[in-house]
Amino acid sequence: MNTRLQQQQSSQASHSQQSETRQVGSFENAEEALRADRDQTTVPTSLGDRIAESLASEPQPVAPKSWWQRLFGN
Amino acid sequence: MELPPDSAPVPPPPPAVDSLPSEFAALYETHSKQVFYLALRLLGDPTLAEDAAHDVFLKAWRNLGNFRGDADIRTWLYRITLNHCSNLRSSWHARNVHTQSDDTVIENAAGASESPFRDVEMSELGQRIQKALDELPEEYRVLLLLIADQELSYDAVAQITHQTADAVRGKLHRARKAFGTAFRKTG
Repeated sequence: MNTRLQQQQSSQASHSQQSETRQVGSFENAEEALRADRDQTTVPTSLGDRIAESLASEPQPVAPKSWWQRLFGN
Repeated sequence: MELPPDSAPVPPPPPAVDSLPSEFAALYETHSKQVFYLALRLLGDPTLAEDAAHDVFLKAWRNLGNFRGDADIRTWLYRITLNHCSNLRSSWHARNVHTQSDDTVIENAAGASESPFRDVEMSELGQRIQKALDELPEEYRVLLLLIADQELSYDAVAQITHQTADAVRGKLHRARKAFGTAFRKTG
């Protein structure tokens, strides 16, 4: 009986230790913490402008050819 | 004769994001946050992450013709981002090989050049997450950042990281545990 109680206690302790290891602050797990961090991260507005500026001097990308165009040419 | 200020030629304004070709603008709107965030947490610096995200979208534009459509576009963008950030990190590593005696000099120099706004830009959660991620092996860091995107399946993460979905599951278990431990140390 005593042994069973000890086993139960040790299993509870290990379970709480395990969930404590996976729990990240007030978050359920690492992914949840990372999602919260991502959601509060703002993309700098200058990024879109910089890309638009760079693309203005780039040639248009070539449209992918279908299999028959690749096979027979145009 | 000097021209009055009003008649001086005005340079054209730089094109805004609205002026991106419409399909590419849609691609940017949908995926820019994920690309920027992945770069931010891999490189640990908002300015470097912005530069990296810029380069990633430029590479995507140049290679749109090679995108075969057999993979999800987000998977493709993530792969470009990972390759780009990995190349940047390896080149820094190669450049920063130094002897033990240089450590003090380098530490002082890094402290002096670091942006004073960096701590303000990054929230407390962001700072703690960055510190915890920095403690992990790169493989764990990448897996956690990818799997945090709910739109990516285990198979997609496996495809991006060139391994099997079972390997991803196994490593994620250890990665979560390591992240939890590292995160608690930052508190």
